[in-house]
Amino acid sequence: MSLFLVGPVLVLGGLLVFLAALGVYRMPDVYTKCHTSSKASTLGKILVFSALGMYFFSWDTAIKSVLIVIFFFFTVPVGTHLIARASHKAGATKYKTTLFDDME
Amino acid sequence: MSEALFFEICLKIFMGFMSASIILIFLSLIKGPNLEDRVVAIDLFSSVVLSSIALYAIYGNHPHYLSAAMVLALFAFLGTGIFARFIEKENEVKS
Repeated sequence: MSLFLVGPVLVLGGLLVFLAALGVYRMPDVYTKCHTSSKASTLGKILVFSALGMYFFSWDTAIKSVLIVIFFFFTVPVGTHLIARASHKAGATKYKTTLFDDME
Repeated sequence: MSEALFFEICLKIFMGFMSASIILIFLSLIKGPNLEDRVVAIDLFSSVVLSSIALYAIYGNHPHYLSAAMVLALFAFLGTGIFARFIEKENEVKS
């Protein structure tokens, strides 16, 4: 496949992973940190691994890339939900502009 | 601009993003006020390592590194789940 297509997809995935790291550094709260780390990094990793599958362009790597993306879809939301629930049970502090909390 | 040069520049930009994200994650590991913030940072660290494995597979033209990425994608989740369990249990013991 043309490298003019693979390169921008790869750079866009790297940018999204970098934005996830920047969000984890800047966000004030555990819950907002969970939000930015799960969403942005999932989309970034999907773009990176689709660029990988387009670069090698064979059945072997394509199947492995799709498997890795399916694992992300299963594991990343479950892990983030576990952390958020545990920190809510441990009484993590909320940011001062939090409007309501359904679990209380 | 030729095709190979363009792709080389894209790879260099991607490397810059990866190193900047690793620096930011270690800064938030130092800064994070509680254990939960640090667990979130460790969870993100594993995803940055996965993207770096993908970068290395493209850069060295080795498609075999994808198997390692597959195993890491499964086992990073286990570490996060165990940390969450630990936070819950510690809270139960305290109260």
